Amino acid sequence: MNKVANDLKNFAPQAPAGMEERIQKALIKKKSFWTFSWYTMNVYVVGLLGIGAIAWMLSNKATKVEVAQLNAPQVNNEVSIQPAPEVKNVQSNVPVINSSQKSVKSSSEEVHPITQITQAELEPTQDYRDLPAEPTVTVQPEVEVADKIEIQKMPEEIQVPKVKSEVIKPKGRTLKLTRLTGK
Amino acid sequence: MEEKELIQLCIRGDKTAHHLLYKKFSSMVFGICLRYAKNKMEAEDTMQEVFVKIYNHLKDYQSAGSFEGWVRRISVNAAITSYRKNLRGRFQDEIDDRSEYATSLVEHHDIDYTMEELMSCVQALPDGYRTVFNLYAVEGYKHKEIAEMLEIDVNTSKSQFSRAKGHLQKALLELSARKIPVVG
Repeated sequence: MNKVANDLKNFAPQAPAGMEERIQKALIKKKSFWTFSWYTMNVYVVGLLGIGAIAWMLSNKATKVEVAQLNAPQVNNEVSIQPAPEVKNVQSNVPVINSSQKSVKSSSEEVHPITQITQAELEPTQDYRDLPAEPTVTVQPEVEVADKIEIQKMPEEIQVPKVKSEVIKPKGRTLKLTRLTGK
Repeated sequence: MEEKELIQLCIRGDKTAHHLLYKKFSSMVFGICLRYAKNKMEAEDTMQEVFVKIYNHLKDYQSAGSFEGWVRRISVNAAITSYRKNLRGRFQDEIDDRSEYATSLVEHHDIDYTMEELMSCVQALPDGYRTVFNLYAVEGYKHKEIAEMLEIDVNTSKSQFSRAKGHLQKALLELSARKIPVVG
């Protein structure tokens, strides 16, 4: 076996013709993507031009939308916040008599409802002492309440049309799907 | 031209240097590829891969070892890669199918053959047998190394080799028997 092994090791036949060209072709093919060549350069240029054109088209579209937005009439969305009138606790001159303790209390501790704001209270700068004693103005909500509410009763029974359970069978022969070959 | 100079020119992409390198090593590489391949076409494909690898990886060659050894190693590795690509998982089948060849081997020194005949006998071996036989008997790898290279068990490598040896001896004996003229 040693003889066979030695013979095999030293066996160096002539390489087939055309093998060198085949190798060179394979080498060029493998190289061509990353190494510089005019062919690949053209591919890069075409690719770049394509990408540039797409980018230009997209940017042009975006600017058109912006212009359209600018030309549109402006809608004032600002909401002006005005300070609410201060509500002051006004001491009324009318004393409240607490019958249980038999003492006189001022009504300053009472909180007025929002709807009962006096005319004097709407002018915050004026002192309450300077104000003339006027009767309070009550603002009533403009809500009309219906006297009678009519409740419509739904009919108790709802008639649903019954679906026929019968299956209509096609008359004549049953059709079979066959190839469209005409057989 | 010296080998180092030739390598440097090849690295620079000189076509003449490429041609010279091919001329120098093509026979050796083709011989290796033929040994590992099933037929000539497969050997040509492997040879192409080997030279493309050589030209592309010349920069990686360190001049510590011989250049011929480096080329040989690339050739063997390419042949193994090709084998693994095509025939992964065939070892077990071959062992089961051909167990009758695991017999005691006798050395036959007087077998007469030509190199073409020997090569055809080697190529007729099953793929796994052929690869292990080449790696062990011709390249001189150990069974442990072969097992790692081919991702098989060490014992599989050993049995593959012994069966390959039996196959080859039988084929060569048959060949020499055909050559002996029958005297009537």
